[in-house]
Amino acid sequence: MTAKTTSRPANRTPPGPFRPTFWRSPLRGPWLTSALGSILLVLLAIVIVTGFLSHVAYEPNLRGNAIVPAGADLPLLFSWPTAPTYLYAVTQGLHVNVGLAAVPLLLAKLWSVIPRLFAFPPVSSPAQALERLSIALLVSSAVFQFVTGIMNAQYWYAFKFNFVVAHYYGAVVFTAALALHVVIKTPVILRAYRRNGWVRPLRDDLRSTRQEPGDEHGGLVAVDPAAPTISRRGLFAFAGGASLLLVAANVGQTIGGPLRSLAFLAPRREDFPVNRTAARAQITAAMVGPAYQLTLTGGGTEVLLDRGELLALPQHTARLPIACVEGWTTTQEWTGVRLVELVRTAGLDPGDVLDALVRSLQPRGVLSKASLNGAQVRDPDSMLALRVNGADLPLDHGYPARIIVPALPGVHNTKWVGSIDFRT
Amino acid sequence: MRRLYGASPLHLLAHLALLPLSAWALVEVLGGRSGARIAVWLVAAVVLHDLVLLPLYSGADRAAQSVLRGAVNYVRIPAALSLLMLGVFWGTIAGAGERAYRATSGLTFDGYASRWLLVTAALFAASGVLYLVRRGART
Repeated sequence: MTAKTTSRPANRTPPGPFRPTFWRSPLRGPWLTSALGSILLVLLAIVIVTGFLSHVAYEPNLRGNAIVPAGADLPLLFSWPTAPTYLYAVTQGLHVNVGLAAVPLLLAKLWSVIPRLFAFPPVSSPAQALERLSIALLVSSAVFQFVTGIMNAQYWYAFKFNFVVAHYYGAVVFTAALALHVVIKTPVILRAYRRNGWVRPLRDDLRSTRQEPGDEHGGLVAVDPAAPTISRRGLFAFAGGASLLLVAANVGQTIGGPLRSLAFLAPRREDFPVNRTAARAQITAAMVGPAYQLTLTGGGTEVLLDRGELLALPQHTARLPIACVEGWTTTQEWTGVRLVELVRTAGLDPGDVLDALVRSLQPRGVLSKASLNGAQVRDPDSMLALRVNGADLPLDHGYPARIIVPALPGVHNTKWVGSIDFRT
Repeated sequence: MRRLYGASPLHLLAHLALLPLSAWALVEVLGGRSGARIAVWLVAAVVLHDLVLLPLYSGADRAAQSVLRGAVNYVRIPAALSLLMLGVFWGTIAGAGERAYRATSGLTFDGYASRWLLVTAALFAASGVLYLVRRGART
């Protein structure tokens, strides 16, 4: 078959990729795209759900927590729980590692449909115009989300915009465009599976690899195919192997323990990572010296406690993880004063607390303050930690006192705590 | 409907229900701070993938096929895995994220490029062994 057999005269179609004869891979076709897309959809669903859960976990409706402008985001359906303690470690670990696993499949999926970018004429009906607009949004937002997410996890802030805001709205664009794509393509996908079976094309080795039958949707099955250089199952093994490699290079920083040193390309390979050094946060020796006092407000009269007075209050010890939005986790044994103890010290009943605004001694920065919800304040493991692993907190880990709350996103466990305001 | 619009009513309704949601997010983010910069990144994302990255690797693949013929997979698969690692972990391997990382943690990204090279060498070595074994099995 040649281009002459298509309905359009060849002389009106621009040359190169706009000609159907340009695309020669015998692997392309509705089944291949459907199979790649089905796997990708499962991975993307995990990444999308855990991504929006992270937005919820940051409790943007509480005082001082919103990074995406308050009231300009989607409604929150629930407040973030404190159990299980590793909840955020799991959701955010999935977000980052499943996201990495999706990269090779996304590249393969986009490769499988690239001839349709050059469809000619570019638009043949209002329906197609709308669909091409939605596909442009889908591809653009997909690449944008992956690139910004991966860069942010590696501290590469070459984008000069607020990551949280751009990644949040990018996720909304992406999720809506993906949902639309799935709705529109479901009949095409089902037809491809009916015709080829779910996995039957994977049985072909290289020698028996043929083109897919039927392509009424158009543009995917090559009209002038080259000989195959890899089987379809070879392509899936290739993409799947690439996913496993990317996850293997990173997942140790999420799981920790002996796996951490195997995470050969992950940014966080140390056992107890410092998220922000005291020097960077502009914490001085004078701030945390003998003159240090914690201020508790909200109970009518202000209560001041120095570190000795904090150590004299009943102490609680718990082994709890800190899980970062970047996908790394560290689990340590923390000792300090339960937050409910501080609520009582401030002259309040823990049952009445709606939220608590915790401020750091650090003079500035978006995360120099964070609010906890009432349930987080009341959790028996929530504490103002003074010690870790049996020793005083190191300065870089928040000496003289830091917040530790189960399942709370890492940066909301405020370090160098200067004051806590309980709201009832 | 189908003659004038080109698809079923469901097609139109799905677009009318979901495109406004995307449009809302775009209006919020592009109208906010650094909106113009985000717009540039959104457009660059699709242009760089579809018109730069994909043609580049397709061209390299065709060149490799014409040189290596039947042995192409033993070279292009480890090569692609290595380049994929390099691209995805550019922040640590090339140290692109090191300035902010040092400010945050007090540490540097040491040894990442070495480990990437070692894993690359291991991938090509494994591929070479596989090639020899399979060629041996055939002859």
